Amino acid sequence: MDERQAHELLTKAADEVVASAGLSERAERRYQRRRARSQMVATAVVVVLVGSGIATAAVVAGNRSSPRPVSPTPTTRPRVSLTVNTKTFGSLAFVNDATGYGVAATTSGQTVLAKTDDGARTWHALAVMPARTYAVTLAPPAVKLALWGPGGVWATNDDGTHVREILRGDVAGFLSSAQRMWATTRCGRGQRCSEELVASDDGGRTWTRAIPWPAYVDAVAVSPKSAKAAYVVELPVGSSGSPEIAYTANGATWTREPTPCPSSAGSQLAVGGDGVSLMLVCSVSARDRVFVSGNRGRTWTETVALPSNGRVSALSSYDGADSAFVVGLTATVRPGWANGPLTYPTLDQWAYKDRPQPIGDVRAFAFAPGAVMYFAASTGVWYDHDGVRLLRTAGASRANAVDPHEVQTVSFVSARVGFGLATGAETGIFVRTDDGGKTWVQVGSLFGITALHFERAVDGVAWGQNEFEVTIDGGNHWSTPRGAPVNQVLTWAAGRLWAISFCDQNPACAVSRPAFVSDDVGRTWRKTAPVTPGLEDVAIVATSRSTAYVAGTSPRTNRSQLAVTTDGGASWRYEPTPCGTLDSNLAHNDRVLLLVCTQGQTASQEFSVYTSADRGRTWTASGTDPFVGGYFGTLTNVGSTFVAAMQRGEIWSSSDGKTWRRETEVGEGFWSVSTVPGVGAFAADGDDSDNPNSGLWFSADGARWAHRP
Amino acid sequence: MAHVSTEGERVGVPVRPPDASFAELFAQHYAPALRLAALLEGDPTRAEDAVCDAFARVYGRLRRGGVDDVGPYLRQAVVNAVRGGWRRRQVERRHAADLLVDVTSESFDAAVVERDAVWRALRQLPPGQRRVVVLRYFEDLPEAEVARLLRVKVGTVKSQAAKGLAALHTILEVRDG
Repeated sequence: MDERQAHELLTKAADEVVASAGLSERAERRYQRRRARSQMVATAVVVVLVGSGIATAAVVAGNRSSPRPVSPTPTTRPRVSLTVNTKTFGSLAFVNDATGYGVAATTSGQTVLAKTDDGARTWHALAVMPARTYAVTLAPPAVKLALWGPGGVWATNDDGTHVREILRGDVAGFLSSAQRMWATTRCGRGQRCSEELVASDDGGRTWTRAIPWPAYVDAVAVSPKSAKAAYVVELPVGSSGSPEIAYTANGATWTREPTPCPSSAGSQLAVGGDGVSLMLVCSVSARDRVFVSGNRGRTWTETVALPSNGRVSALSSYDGADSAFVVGLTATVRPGWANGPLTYPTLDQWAYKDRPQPIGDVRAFAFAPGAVMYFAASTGVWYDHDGVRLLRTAGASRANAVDPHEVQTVSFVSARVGFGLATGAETGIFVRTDDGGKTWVQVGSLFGITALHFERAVDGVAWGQNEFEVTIDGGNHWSTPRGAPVNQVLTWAAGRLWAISFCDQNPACAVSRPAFVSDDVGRTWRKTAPVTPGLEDVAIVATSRSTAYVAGTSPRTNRSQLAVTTDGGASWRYEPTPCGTLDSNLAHNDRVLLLVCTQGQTASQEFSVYTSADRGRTWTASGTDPFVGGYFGTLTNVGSTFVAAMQRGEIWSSSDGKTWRRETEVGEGFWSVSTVPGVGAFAADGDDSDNPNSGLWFSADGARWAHRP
Repeated sequence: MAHVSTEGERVGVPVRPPDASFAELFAQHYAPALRLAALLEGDPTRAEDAVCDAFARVYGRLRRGGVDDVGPYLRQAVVNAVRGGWRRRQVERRHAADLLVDVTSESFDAAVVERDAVWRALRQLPPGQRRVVVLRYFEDLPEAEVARLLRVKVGTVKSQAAKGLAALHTILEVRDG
């Protein structure tokens, strides 16, 4: 049976499912009961807040912005707080080194005009734009900010509160100098006609043709030296001939020179700070060719070749330099361009910085005064602050307070300071608390991340499928180190991180799987001896810098096995486990190793539980399923106490792994438990604010838990 | 002139009926939710409780303006409701034997027999495998999304999906002789 057949069978079976009469009413009655219960709880909370300071309530309430309609026209503020996906920026424009704008997608899919006020550390959506809005540009004072796409050009001078159309039509390109705006417009899809270059000097009220002759405009660049000076690359009108470059100093009279580009479209042009130096990128079939001119295009010199696996996707002159340029590349071979922007010339060569992490395909540049270069890449928005350091921004929405009920994955470093991932209207919200989880504030956004661990208040790691990120500044900025393991499970003990990649139905997996350790909170990794063979459904726990356990299913035998190292990963010892072939969970307290198999010893059991006092050599079954009817959440230890946080809203604790104590009515179902040595543990469910038991729970000993409303 | 497009072009506009009554919301979305719950439960008759629970949660969140797109949120709520239904699980166990009463082909037409066989095969899968198979092959969700919904590792989704598919095949093949 293949996937398609399975889909057809399931669809046929599902087609016979019909609702019984009155189901809607049943569901609504259940909602009304839940609502009545939550209102009672809310009343109690308000009474408490009046005594302890109403400001907290105001902040939290303010985060729930009132709904506003979303319109397909770019004239509205976002209805709700939208999270800007910083990996989707296609355009950037910066007013100064702190304030900038960009066009990006939100995590829920809208294209938005986004703004930052803190140097791209955080972003918030200003206005929902048409899906095909390509770019934002700083424009003359009357316009301030212009956005454009195939539907036209729009302007806003009040940060997106009002967005007005200033040019309608199939706009193919748009540029602006301090006084003048330029746009190329196409006459219509499928029609054989020239493209027009039009310009406006009155804030877009009137547009006049800037080139008096019919032309196929392929690229335009404006000079920083003069308000009306511009260069235009024209394609030949007929089928033969080469593109020409036309130059005007005053916007009225033009001179034309040949270019070295072939006749195909797709060239890109930039003007240096001196107004006469040019860089021209010619699109050819195999590899983009790049030419430079120091005399307004009268003569051209080809640069050394670009790397063979990258095509130019962004081009800019270097701010403040007469004849230095920077290009961004898009890799023709996945997973993407790794090395970041290339600058030219450096000893007549292309140069890029030796980044400690892959950058991804580069899409746009923006310079702020002081030669601070920002660029948008497929990994996020980066900035080159001082020519040395390169940091990727966290990319938050506005630093809003976040409903504590929505925090579902937590990592605490002390009794007060913790970090978390929250859900809600958007995904990937990275949050921080400084008061032990009573209030949470969004720090940034992390995409594709499902788990995190902070070793200290500044050093942490976050990971998900194919994602691994490191921060050294409390989550304000993140980067992906080269060589970091992906598709891994992590554990930590005594300041050392352990990671092992799980099998991906990969034949190599049957041979071995590498394991890694990091002693600097994920910045650098060292391979240990591999686990042989690799394992499916991997669970890992470390108890010290030298000892770690890995449990999983061997693809060779289809049976569960345990790999043990006591020498920091230099070697592994292998033991069978009593688990079957399904997922297993591991924990270790100061005495025994605990193994929970997510399949019981009998058909009626969901789990079976075993302990080992000799590092996995022999196992003792704990008897019947102690978690009957549950669904497993998190297994860990708080000091000498084992903690099993279940999905249905129960926390079980045990000192020996055999007899378990149940704490009921503690949340809706736990996503994570974070232990802080000497402090206790925090458990977060992040499930439903209607449930009075939902939210963050704390225990000093792992056995008795108290709600942190 | 070179264009730089945003990924925003590829995604749809979220659906949200901000002022919809509960009944309107239910009418719009109950059918796919009920089908999903039925498959996740392995039985259509016990899906309704989970669906009621899911709608009660989603509507509360929707009224507070915390849901942009009902579909994914409802899906998560259905998965949670199915998995969290401890009382339903007890009922399920009590009646597990009843569910396996054979249905012979003599009394039903071929289509009914086939559908019934699929339901019976689904019920024979371990709950974890069943959920992965349904979310992966009925809902057509990517592995990462299934892992997120079920709160398991992606590797687990991969292996459970493969094993679940093989088990379904075996069960249905045995039935067909």
